[in-house]
Amino acid sequence: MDNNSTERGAKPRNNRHKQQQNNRAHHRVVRKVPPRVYNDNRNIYITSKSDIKAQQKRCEDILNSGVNEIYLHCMGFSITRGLNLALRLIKNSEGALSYAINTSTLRLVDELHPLCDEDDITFRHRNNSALHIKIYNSNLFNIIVPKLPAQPALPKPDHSEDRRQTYSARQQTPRKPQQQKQFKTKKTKPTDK
Amino acid sequence: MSNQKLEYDAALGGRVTLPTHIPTYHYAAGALREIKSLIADAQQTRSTKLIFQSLPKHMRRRAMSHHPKRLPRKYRSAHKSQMGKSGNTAAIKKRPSRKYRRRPKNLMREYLRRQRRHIWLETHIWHAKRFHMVDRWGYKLPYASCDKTYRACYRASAQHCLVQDISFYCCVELQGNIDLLCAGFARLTSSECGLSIGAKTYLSGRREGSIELFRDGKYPAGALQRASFMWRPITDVNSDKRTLWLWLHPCGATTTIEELVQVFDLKSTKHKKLPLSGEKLSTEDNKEQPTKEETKESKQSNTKEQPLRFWTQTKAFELNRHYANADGTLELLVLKNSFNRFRLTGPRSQEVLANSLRAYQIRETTNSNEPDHWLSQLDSEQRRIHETQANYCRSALRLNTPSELLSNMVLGLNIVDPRLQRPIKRTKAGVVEAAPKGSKPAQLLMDAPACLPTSALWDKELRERLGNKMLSIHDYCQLRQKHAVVPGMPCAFEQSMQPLPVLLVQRPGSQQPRYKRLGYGCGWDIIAPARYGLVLWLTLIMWGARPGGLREFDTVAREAGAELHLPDTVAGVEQAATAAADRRARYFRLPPNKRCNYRKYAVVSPFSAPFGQLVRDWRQETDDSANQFFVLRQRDLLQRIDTSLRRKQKLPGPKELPAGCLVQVQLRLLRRGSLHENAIICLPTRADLKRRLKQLKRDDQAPVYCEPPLPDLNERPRRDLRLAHKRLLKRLRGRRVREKRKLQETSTQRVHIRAANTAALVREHFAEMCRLWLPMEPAATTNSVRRQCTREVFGYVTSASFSFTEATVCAVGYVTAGGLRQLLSDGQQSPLCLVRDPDSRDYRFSSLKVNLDVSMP
Repeated sequence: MDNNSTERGAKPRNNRHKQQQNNRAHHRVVRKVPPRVYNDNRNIYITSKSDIKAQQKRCEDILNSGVNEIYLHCMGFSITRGLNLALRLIKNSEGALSYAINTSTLRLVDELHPLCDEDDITFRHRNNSALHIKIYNSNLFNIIVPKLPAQPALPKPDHSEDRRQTYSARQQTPRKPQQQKQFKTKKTKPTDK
Repeated sequence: MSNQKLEYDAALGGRVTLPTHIPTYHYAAGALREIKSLIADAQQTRSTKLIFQSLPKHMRRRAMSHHPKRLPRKYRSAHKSQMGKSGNTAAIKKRPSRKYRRRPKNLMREYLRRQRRHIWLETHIWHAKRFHMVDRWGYKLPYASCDKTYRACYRASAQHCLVQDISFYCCVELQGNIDLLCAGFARLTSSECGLSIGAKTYLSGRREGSIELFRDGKYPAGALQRASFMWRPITDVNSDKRTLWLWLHPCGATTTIEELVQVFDLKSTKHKKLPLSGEKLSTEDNKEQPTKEETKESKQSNTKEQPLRFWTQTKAFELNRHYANADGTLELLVLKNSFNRFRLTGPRSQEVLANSLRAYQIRETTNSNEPDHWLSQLDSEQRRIHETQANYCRSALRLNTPSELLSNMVLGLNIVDPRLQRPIKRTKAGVVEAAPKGSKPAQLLMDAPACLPTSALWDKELRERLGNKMLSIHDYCQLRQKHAVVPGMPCAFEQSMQPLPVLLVQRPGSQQPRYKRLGYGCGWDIIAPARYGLVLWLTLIMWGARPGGLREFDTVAREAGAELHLPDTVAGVEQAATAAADRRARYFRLPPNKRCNYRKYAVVSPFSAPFGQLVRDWRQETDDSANQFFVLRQRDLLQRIDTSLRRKQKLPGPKELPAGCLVQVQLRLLRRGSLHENAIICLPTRADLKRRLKQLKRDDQAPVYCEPPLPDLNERPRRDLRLAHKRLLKRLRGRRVREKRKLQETSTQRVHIRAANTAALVREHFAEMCRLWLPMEPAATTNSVRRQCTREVFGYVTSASFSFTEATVCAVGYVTAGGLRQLLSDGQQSPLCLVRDPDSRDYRFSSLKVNLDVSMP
């Protein structure tokens, strides 16, 4: 299931290993797991190793379960994958979804493991570009939300509070089935194949 | 003599002569014989009835056969023995009642009796109620849960938290001069296998390291095992004495300790030969144990004068075996069963740990109510260290996965009793508190304070005191019963429970993103003092960690693309032998029409991987050490093999890559099919590759090649042997029947047929039959393993299964260097090999990747 070759428009992986060969005599570079800011089911961290269809299904399932917005975080080589995924989601939703994109630079730390007994472990800083795509349900007005005293204006990135409030809102207003947009109803064949 | 009269006897039908007188002694002898036979008859009843059946009618009772007490007392023992022979358990000694067995005294006695053969872990009883227990390495260990948890355990290791009890690992404490230690370990390992034990990065004690151990000077052959070690942080700056803990797997522990004793020239202190000086001739003096310095001095002085006079001091019982060298500069202490070590795997182990370990807070006020325990007697410096550790741990456990921290970091911590940290119900641990905005994981990684690995756990006296002073679970429950007003709420007495030191050891998991998902298998190891095992274990379980057994070690290693025990280590050899015996036994338990005929399938060794013979066949030149093989552990060489595999370059030459070496590879089936242990790895031919391309075009999932079945030359001999054996048994039985009939003719009682006594015969036949079923052992013959079938074999699979991380069937195997060279010389697009299960004739293509971190877990 090597999807790297089928990725459309992906930039080639850089040839950093060639640079590493020069300083191989001193140490070995060990990459760490990149840090995550949020770790709940609405923040999806994209990897280019997973199957893109599985990722798409995962996003659709989350959106269909009543979540109004999801965040796709992608970094480095998987940025292309993230963009493809977001566009595919939006295209399949027939205008029900919109997106907003933020870019950022992540500061990563690599461990340099020594290769001889005299050296100690050292660290190296490295920057990597990252993309944060927010995909949200744009036709929020479809859902009739009654006026409540403790109703927040709009969901904010503070997720722990956010989720609780949407949950309570859902409890108080039983959703009508026809108002819930099912994004997976129309399955278009991806055109990029 | 006497005159005889003839008289008529009607019964005999003729005249009988009767003597007029007889000698009294003849008469007495006859009477005696008669009495004897009467007594014998009375003692041994010839009746076929049972005892209770032979009683007169008026003495019989209902259900007499079941209740021996309804018989007259003198018949009871005979009745019981009769019942016991017939297999009727009613007469066998009754199992005592449950109430009796459950009395604490009797329960404890029973537990101690059962622990005599195998050592129990502290969590044994908890595990025994929920897990299948197996005897392994002198311990009784949990194998796998009785529930179906195979997939759940994988999920726990990948996304949640899997916890395993690895207290069976044997800790060995070495104490001595650092140069001496490094020189000794340099003999046991090689610099090619990675950093040595005295590397600077480990010596400060802030990281746990691991080394490959070999027999003294035998590298690269004679591998013992991989052992992890940690140095005690420097306590006394002036002395160059350092302490080291070596964690050994119990399978090779005895061999490794023997090797260590030999290398460092140590002597057991159980038997000491002490010199007998003139003053100490009286027995009272002898009983006193002289201090070490005295002995040394007197030894030196006495050896010159009276070299032969000494007395032997023997310790009757040694809890921890202790060895020391001649001048006392180096000591070895086997700290078996004095620690509990739990292994937590998975990213959620952060939350589990953060919830179950709370750092002890030392209060500044020194009032009289302050509980008196070891932590309250610290000086200001130690307090500062304690605070730093607590703060660091709190922020480190807030991170998302353990692999964001410094790899193999050791972290000491003094925690409150884990019983106080339990939730009311078993819950999945959530995030304790959100990370503050300012803290960054990079800071935690790079600016770690130097005092982190300091721990009181290194102190032996303290460990003993902790164990003795621990509030037992029973006492704790009783106290709670007495004091707790609201169930589940904390009590006042819990403030005074003693804190305990633990060591947390980080495991980074996968560190090669190209080989396996980054950080798979990351987690923590907790080392806690003895007696606190169950308490800590239950807290971890209550916070939602999933318990795993021995099976999970194998699955986690296989998912990570590695193997726990390499086939050339002590543990690997033993494991392969037991697995082969199991498979063989299982094969012959099957009925013959369900056994696959390995001779027809052209499989030489169906139950074990004959690496020695494989290496022998791939060797160009033959010498006496042809069967020796070893696993390649040199990282730089593996790196070069990996790059040449990926870029289709030439492998390093045979001088660097000796013919006896095996390379660990991860195989991945490209299309359909499954793999099992002992599958063979073969070189594809050009026709196979062409056929694969054709199949790809037609989307054909069939196997790429089928081994043509060989004729089985043993089929006829097997049939003949079976028929001959049956005939023989029948003839023997006929002989016994005839014998019985003959006896029956002359006897008035019923004669039973003689017992067959053909067990030896049957066993011999079975062995012969097994020999005819199986192909010849490759070790016993000179038949080629390499050319056993139509494709050339160059490796064997040792563990295989469906891999959840890769979503295909994956396997870990070993291939020979010569085979790899030939594979690369073919000039394929990407190196592919053929694999075939031992019980199948289908070859399928699989890709192969070289593992750089051999024996990582």
